[in-house]
Amino acid sequence: MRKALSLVLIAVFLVSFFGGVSVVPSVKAAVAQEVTYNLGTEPATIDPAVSQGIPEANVMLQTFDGLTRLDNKNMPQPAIAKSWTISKDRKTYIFTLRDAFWTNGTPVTAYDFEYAWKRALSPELAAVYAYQLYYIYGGEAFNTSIKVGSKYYVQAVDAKGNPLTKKEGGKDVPVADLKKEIDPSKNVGVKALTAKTLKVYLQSPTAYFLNLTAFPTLMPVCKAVVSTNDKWAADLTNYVTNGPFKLTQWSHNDKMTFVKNPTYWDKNAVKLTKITYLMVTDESTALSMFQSGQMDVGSTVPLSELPKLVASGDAQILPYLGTYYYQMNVTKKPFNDVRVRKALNLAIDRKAIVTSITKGGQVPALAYVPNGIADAAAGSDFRTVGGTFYKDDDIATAKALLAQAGYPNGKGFPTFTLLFNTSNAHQSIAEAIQQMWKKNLGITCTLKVEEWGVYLDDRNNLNYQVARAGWIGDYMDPNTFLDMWLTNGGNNGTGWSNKTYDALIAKAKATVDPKARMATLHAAEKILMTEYPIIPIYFYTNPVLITKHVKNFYQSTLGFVDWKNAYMG
Amino acid sequence: MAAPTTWQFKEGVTPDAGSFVPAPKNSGELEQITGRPTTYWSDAIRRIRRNKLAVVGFWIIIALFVIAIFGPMVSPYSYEDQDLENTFQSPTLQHPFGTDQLGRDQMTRVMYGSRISLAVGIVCAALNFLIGVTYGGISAYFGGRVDDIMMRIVDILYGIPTLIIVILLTVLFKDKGVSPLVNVFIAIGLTYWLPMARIVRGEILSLKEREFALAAKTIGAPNNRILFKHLIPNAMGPIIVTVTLEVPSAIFTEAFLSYIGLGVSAPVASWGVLASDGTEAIRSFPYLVLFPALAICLTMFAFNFLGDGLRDALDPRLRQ
Amino acid sequence: MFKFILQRVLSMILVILIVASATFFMMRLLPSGPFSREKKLPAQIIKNLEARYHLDDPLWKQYVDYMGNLLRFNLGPSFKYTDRTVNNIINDGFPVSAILGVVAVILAVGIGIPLGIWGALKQNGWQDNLVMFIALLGVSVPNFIMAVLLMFIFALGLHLVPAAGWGSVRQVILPAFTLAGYPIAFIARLVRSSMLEVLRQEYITTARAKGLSERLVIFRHALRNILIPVVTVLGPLIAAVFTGSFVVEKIFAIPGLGRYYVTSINDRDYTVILGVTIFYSALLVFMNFLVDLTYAWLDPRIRYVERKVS
Repeated sequence: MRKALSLVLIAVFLVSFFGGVSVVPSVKAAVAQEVTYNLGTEPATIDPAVSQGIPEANVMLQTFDGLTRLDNKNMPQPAIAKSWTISKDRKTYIFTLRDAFWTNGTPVTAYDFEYAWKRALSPELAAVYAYQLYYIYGGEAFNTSIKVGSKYYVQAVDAKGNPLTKKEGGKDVPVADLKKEIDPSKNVGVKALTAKTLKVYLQSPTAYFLNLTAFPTLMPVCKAVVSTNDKWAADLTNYVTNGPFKLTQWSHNDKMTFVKNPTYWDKNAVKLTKITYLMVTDESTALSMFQSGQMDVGSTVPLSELPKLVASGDAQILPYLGTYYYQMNVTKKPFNDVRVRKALNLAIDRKAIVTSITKGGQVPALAYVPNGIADAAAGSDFRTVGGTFYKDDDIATAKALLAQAGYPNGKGFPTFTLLFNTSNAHQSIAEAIQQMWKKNLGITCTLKVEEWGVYLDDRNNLNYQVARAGWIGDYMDPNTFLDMWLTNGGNNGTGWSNKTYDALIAKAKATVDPKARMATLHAAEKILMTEYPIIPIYFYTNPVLITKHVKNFYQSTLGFVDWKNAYMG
Repeated sequence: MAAPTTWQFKEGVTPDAGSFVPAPKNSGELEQITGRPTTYWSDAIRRIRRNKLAVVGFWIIIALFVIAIFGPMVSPYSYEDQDLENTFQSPTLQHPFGTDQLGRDQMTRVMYGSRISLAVGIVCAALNFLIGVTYGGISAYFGGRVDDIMMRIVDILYGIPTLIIVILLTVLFKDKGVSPLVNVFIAIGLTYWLPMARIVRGEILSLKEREFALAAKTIGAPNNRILFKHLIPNAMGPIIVTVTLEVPSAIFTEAFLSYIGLGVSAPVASWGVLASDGTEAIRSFPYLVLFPALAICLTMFAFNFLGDGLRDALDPRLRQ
Repeated sequence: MFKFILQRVLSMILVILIVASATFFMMRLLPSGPFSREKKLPAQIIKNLEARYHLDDPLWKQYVDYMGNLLRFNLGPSFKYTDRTVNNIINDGFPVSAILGVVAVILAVGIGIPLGIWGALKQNGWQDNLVMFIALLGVSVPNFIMAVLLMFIFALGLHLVPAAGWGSVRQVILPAFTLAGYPIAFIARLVRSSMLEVLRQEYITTARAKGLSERLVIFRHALRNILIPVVTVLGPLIAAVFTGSFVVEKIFAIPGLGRYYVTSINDRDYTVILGVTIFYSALLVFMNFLVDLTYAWLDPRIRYVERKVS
């Protein structure tokens, strides 16, 4: 009896495993212009100033319209600004605004932009992405100023130039230098000249500034509403916006509903009448819902299913501006030796990793800056121009370098720890690389997984030997990948420092001529790729689930989705 | 007249004295009316032998241990040897359980993983008996203020988020050279006896008011004797059930712990880790989760068969 | 009895305060804080944020402030979800988790107890073995596999229910069964084991000898005495399932409270960690209090107050 029973149960298991997962195409009514998208997670906020990540950006891009908007080639196009002029030193921008309206019927003015940007920079709002506005003259100074009463002051410094603090109620309070006031109405480089003219003065010529004006942090807010209600974004009835869609419902951790905004200036270009965002975090569940017709587009795809879904046309692999790499603590032996670092870099078979493990169309990284960033010449790509810096899986050179460093065939090489954070994908890659180093170089490392916060803490405090890391660009310029490696840069967690490199990055920042600027950045990358504080592994891709009915879907290489021009067909 | 053969008279003592003579020392043997002597434990073992399922369970467990110890030694593969050309192979004669995402032989990995999972299971069961049963028993037996304090401590341990404790443990044990399994045992030891303590307490609260317990108390039996010889054996049913059900959840908790970074590090993988990793690929490669899950099920069946047998065998009211 | 209840309520409040304090200080020992990112924020921005949320105050002051607010049932703002308070988060998530919890507990009791009784009455028969098989499957298949299997079979395979999501009655079924899987098994096994013991007691033999029907014997005489372990299990179980399960809510995309028990810790969202922990502890001590009251009702011999020696 027991045997028969178990046979039945096994049969049920097998049927459910192998036969049960049939894909049933969802039958949609002719062309209802409605789409359901899986955002993947609950957005932390819907206030553009305090926005901080991709999920938030994917809400803000529908509800707001900035000075510019990116087209599907990631190039900035006029949006609320209908035109602009740029000064010769490329530091002053004058934007002319078009006639556009907020959802409450009032016009969108230059004053709204000025207010929104200064609000995002104000120290008391404590916006996470305030640094996106540091390009504006006086932006950083204002954001780091000290408020006394209703006025802002520069923090006082002692004779050595160290910032002064005093003890007050048991905590360190910064001391304001009352002789150095920062008046945001005068000392911050953004000013509404008229209701329709906005003047922006930059700290230094910033080649990608018009890309930044399409970024959520730089979206305008309705001054009349926001200045009188600091909880405006907590309640949808106060959520006054100016984008192609209007957020009408938000049930937390569940879904958001957007409808077409009838007051939008370019409403004729908008075809979708309704967008539903779901917040399904589990990748496998999202796939199940996609397959059962509960969603049309999904932001995540389970790794193991990706090749099959791409083949069947249910998934697309989109470009993503990011690099997956390992970083080394160059302050500790044996990683203080560049030959060791280079040997570790060369002894990795990246092609095997992307074809057998990640399987998402990732590109083996033979340099640090990924593909997809325009170079100076029209139509050229920074990566193609820069070329590659080393050969993949170059075991012979790696062995020679290791021998030169004093570890022939890995003899005497200390066992070290490879640190990564909790994730099966990171673990598989780490296991593969562990074995490659063992097999190719004869060196042993142990794998150490840590919870996210513990891992970040160890990585930031140089409390590691080799650690996994990844970097997604903030804007479409090589600088977003290169300026992080400045000496003591906040995101340079390797202890690596190079004076020439620092000088080149500073030079690029001040260079107006695009050609000279790009040449400088290429030179900087070359230094990074001779010194090897890092081991680039692959350039990210962004796989999405998408039905064939969705047309004109646009996701930028920064991962931002814009539904303005999409439609169902 | 012939004297009864079993009677012997001492020389010099006249039988007509009519007095009875003490029997010789070896006569006790003859007066025995039962067969071999039997104790609580021999009785239990005898009864458990008659329970076929329990015997089957026992042998499965022996087999599991043999495989855990010797399986990885005789396997032609190692648990860590990768073959990136042959990832996600379906089960074949060469790889009876298939290969995983890095082309490793899943059968070897399952055999190797049993070492960790069985150890975790056994330690969890032991902790349940040592801490859970004793704690719950004492709390209920003494009752009143003692019970209130002890049970509120249990509530506090239930309330503090385990995840925080576990992350703190990973920080505490970092680079301390403590065996990773010991970390897991400590983490499991912190909370896994709590349900047992509560269940035993509930049972003992009721049992200690029964006649047999009151009787034992009346004749002056010491507290620990009443608790451990009279009350706890009577609560053996729920105790065994609780142990056998806590063990699988401890096995999966170990997987969670190693995910957080507490426990053995990759490429070593326990059954729990193999099963949860396999779940990610369940649509296309269900065998990856199937075999570790089956291994866990088989172990649970074996322990439950044996556990049931033990329960019946140890139940004082079932003694024949 | 009144004295017992009063004492108990005081000790419950003490438990909640101890849990809150221990959690407060332990979570602050965790490496990283609410504003740690892979892309490290500029130091000044972190300072601004800490000033905004008073995280730059000395720890003891933060503790005193938090406890003061707690007494007024103000659990503070979330650091991650900047437009929401912890009270908002609990108000939104708890009803969802509780609905699922009620259904799961009903399933656990409604299926677990009859299965256990059935198994015990047919001890060692095929029915008993079947019950044991189901129960063991219930405990050895963890909820993350169970959830996926149920979804594949009933949503993707048979199209009986939606795969995931929240909003309709049909979307409750799969997550509720997943949640109930382990408790069904636990309760069925406990009931079977207790039932076997009870059926051997003299009073059952007496009841049978009196000629009572088997049904009456079981429901009037036996059932009450097997419920003590079941009730013990139900206390913490109800507290746990009513406040939501991380795994089940994640897999079935349910907007409940359970997710926060894990995500808030990963995000170091201090106020949310404390809020949901305190909420769960309060429910737990209350349930365990009810359990103790139920014991006294199930078995009148159980007393919590020391008997006066007369």
